[in-house]
Amino acid sequence: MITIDAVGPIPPSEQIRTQLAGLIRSGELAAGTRLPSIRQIAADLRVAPGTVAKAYAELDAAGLIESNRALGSRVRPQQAVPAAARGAAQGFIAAALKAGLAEDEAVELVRSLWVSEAGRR
Amino acid sequence: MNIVLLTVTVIFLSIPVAALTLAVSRVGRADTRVRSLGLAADEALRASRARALLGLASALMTMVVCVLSPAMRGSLGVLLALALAPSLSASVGLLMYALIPATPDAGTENVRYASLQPRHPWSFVTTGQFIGLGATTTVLLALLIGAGITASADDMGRPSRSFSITVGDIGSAAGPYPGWYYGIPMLAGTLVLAGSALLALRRVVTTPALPGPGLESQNRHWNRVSTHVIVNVVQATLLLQIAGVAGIAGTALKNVASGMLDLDHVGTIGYALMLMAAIAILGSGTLAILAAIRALTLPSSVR
Repeated sequence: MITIDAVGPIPPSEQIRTQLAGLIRSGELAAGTRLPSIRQIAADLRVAPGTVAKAYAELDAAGLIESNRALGSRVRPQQAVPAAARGAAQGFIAAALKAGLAEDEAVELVRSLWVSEAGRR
Repeated sequence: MNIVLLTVTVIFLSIPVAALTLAVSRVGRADTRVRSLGLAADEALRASRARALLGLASALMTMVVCVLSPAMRGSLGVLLALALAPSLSASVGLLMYALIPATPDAGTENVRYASLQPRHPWSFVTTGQFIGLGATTTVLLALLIGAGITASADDMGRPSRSFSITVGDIGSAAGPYPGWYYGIPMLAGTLVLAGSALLALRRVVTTPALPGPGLESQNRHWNRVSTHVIVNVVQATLLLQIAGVAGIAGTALKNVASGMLDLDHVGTIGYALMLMAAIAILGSGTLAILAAIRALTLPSSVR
């Protein structure tokens, strides 16, 4: 399931794209999984079909999905983050929650550590 | 013989009564666990019931017009109007259901949800329903084609309206008989019915899902019940057409056989067709009642 905030500052197509990309990267949408039609998602979210089509086109351009007029849209193979990295991320989230960190604080911590770790390598 | 007929009649009549009792008891159980699904979801469910009611009312009105309207009876003839009444009325009801737009967004739900499970018009049709629809359609087509091939012109020379047999110098004919004169319009009506059913099924799966997380199972149940209603309506209509064709053809065969010697096999086929008509009409009634109850109690059954 994906959600959008219709009055939020982020455009609906971007919200759809980031959530679908996240689900594909995390492996929740496995390779070969068929995505709903543009019309179905547009009807459920009560947005214009063009909004969903734009999100699908960007996912296609990013290589995350492949769209075919006859077969619909499917998740491309080997798009999920490796299981080891996913497991480590889940462990970090659990530790951050235990430490009482908010989402923004946890993300900020990762960003700062990322810079120093990348510089060291 | 009379006792056997009485027993068979009682068994057949008990089928729709049992179905009705079962459905009503289920409705009662569902009502005892009614709870709110949230304002938007409750509104969607109310709109769905209103749409189903409007479809049902339109179908009944079309049936009444087909059967009773002097204009229809005058232009088509009584039998042809009756032959087309089931498919036309069911098609009008299904089209009404399919074409009424979804409840517009009142703007109260800023956070919106979409299921990632692809839905197709046939997604919620069970294998048993597919087999049932296929079997019913095959029987109807076989009856219409069989009757069309065996029909002959009536006394007034009008083609494909009568059934006649000649043995030696003696001939016997009986009508009305569901030859091509009735069969071709009925085939066209069945095609219209199939198209309307497809539109109605498409309407079910393209309707926005119930708004909110945690409502996925209710949403699937809603889609499943709505699909069952449509399939029941289609199958009830096909069975009603089978009853009409088999009943009229069976009566004609029986009448032809009764006027001649050595035609017992024709008479037996006639009686078999009449029995088939009786079974089909009871099945049709049962499915129509089930469809009506499911449609009218949809919100309760989803909660």
